[in-house]
Amino acid sequence: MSNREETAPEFVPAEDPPTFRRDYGTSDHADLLCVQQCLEGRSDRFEEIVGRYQRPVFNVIYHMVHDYEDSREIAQSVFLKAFSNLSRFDQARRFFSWLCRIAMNESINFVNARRASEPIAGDYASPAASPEDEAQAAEIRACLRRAMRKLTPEYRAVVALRHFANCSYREAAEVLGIPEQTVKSRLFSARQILRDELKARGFGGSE
Amino acid sequence: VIDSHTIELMNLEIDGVLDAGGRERLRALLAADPRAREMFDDLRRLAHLLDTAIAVDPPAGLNAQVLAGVAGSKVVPFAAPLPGKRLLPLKIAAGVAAALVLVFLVRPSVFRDIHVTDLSGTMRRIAANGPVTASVLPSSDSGRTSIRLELADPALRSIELEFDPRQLEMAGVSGKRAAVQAPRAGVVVIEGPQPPGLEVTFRRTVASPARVTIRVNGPESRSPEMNVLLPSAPTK
Repeated sequence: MSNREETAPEFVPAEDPPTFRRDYGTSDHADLLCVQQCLEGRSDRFEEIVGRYQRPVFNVIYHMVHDYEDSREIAQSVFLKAFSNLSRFDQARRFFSWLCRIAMNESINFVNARRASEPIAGDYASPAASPEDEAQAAEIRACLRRAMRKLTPEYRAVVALRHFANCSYREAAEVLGIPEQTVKSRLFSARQILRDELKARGFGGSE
Repeated sequence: VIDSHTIELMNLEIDGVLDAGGRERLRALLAADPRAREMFDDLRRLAHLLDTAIAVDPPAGLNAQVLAGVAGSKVVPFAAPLPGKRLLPLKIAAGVAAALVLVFLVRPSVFRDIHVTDLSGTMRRIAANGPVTASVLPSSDSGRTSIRLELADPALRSIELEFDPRQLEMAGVSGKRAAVQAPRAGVVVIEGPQPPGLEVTFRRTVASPARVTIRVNGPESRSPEMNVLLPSAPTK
């Protein structure tokens, strides 16, 4: 794979390996507080949930359906479904996992319906890009997105949950309702496929 | 061909969950196999790209759209009760039950009106919702009618019977009690009635049905009136 866009450092094992969860400002306690307040009638508290999770949820959806406008509609639907079903949320579980599960189900349903009837829509054009510096970056992004689309929905789902929602193996397993080992197997296989696809398109690292 | 164990170590390291021992093994494997090293670098760059390069920003108006939808939602999230709210019907039922128990405790006896159809002249237990049960006893003497009052509560203060003196005359009271008084015509007060109860006998002066109104005085309150309509006296 080429390092034309990003240069990853040489492998030097860190003393302190990175944790799985990156910071989305997630807080189980804060989530539960918002949920409880919403259930008590303070629907305005849902704004905090939307603000906290719209990015990971939108990215999960987008990388499942690969259409920006469709993703917008699905994301809106996901949050509204979550809101109207808050009373069904098991407060012993993580709210974000529950939200991701709704997003994943909606996305898979959409993908399945579209696969039967419509061609896949075009790329989302990132609004912010400097033409000179972004040319190759855009090329590799486009290549990676195309490679993502070639993945089966099952593989795409684990990649989306892991890389766009920062789910751990266990969380992804919970969201998808599959064993943790299956999550690992699908994720590792998906990465291998993506790597091979990029190499086949001329973005191999050894070139 | 790179073995699956090495590939798993690579992916676990990329995901930041490889333990120290695994990292040492991976370090050794990568040092020994340039192809493994190349694959690891590819996978790590791939993961980095996935994490950073192709993430998209959500639409600027998504939050507002969702909140507008929430505001316009006809489905309220609290339509289904919370665990605590699920107990509300039970709490209401328990409160009602407690109130009923309190009523029965405070009011020693509660009666209901007895209609003539309830009294055929044979022994008929009159349903009463308190510690006093009234029944009309059959009698071979067409001129007399007895009402039996069964008592469950020894704390009763008195039983008052009111009747039309033109129709009935008090003939006698059997059973344990402190005193029988007749404060005025057509009124008899039995003080200190004791379980199991009393029999109050009336002599009938007319054949037509006659009403007897019974009031029970407890230690704290008086029960509602119970009206017993004695049937017409059988003709000889």
